[in-house]
Amino acid sequence: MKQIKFIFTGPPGAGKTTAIATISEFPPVSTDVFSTDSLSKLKDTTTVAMDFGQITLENGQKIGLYGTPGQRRFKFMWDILIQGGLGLIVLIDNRRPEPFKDLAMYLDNFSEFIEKTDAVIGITCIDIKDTPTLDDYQDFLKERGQIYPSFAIDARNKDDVLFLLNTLLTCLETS
Amino acid sequence: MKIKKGKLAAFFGFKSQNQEESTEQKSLPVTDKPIDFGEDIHTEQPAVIDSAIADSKATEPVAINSENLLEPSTEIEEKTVEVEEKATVADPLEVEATNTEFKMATPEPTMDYEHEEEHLIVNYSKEQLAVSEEKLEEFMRVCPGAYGVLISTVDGHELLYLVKRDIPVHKISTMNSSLLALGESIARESSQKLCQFVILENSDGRVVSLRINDILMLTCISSKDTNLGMLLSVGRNTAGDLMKILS
Repeated sequence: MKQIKFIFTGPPGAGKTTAIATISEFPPVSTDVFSTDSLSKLKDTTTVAMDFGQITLENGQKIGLYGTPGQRRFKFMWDILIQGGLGLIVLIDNRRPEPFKDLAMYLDNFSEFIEKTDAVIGITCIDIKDTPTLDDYQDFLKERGQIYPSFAIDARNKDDVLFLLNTLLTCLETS
Repeated sequence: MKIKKGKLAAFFGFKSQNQEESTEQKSLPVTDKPIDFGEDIHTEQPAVIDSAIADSKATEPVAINSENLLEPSTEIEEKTVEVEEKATVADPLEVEATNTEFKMATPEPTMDYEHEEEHLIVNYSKEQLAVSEEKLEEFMRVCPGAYGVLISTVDGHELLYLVKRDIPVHKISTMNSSLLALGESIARESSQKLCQFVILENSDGRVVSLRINDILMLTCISSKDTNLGMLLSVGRNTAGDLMKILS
């Protein structure tokens, strides 16, 4: 049975590595190194190549979980990682100064991929900073003429991350 | 379409979904205040000297002395960057000196959206950088086929480099940081220990990447005029020297 490949993307610190580690059935492959730029104020390490984990459905279907580096300077890795992918999970850190810009940037850069597949959006840290709200995100997407399921999630919570995957699978099945 | 959480749960049954999860709560960095990556913070660019870019056929590295390095008009006295909340605003540096064939590097202007955390926090003195630069020059002298040597951070920012050809240093720094991290991960997954080199063997040259220390790496780019053994040996020695200088 061919492995399904899902890609996690989003800005640095949004929880991509954590989300994959939360649901992967084996310790994920990580390429984290020390941050040497402003990001180090937020976190000590950053992903520079990819994260890789895996989860198996009850029917035996394996889903490969690939995390991208968040910084746009690693766009070459984004282009590599989406090859063969079936869906995109965009995690947005609500604490960032301009989360809509973050979202727009990732949707724009992955637009071709999303057109062929599908995407879901997980908003993290909305419990720490409650604006913009989920409704604001929906309005923003509507203005862009894009409709994607959006949820507030905690990347450390297995049910939350699985729910994103479930939703993405559902979207793919029904599209 | 807004799908409320819970409606689609268990639509596809994950093995673990119906079980009581013992979720490992890995702590995420939490701050009490909104994170500001400081879009308005502009610090000086990394101390990168791009020598001889104009002359792709040069056979010898263009000497860059400390006078060049500290050229007042280039405003690179504070070449190393220390990010502070109230860093001073500096104009983008793009200084090209006639006849000296060096210029300050700038980040590639490809960002349509600037949220990059490009401001290095590593802080090295002018003396450290000058001595490091001498080591790079020495590397180029000893390896006649070498046409590029770069010191960059492990997360992909170039710090100091010397090149004889017009190569995209910023891209190479970033891509090699990914490559080295992947190499180290593959070594770990293969139950092997310290990854010493990541070697790209190409039809007309080689690219060798290795760590200097926890936060810095060295990339050596050479034609086949220098054999691999020599490149690895000199690269290792240079990295060892740089480790001492930039400790």
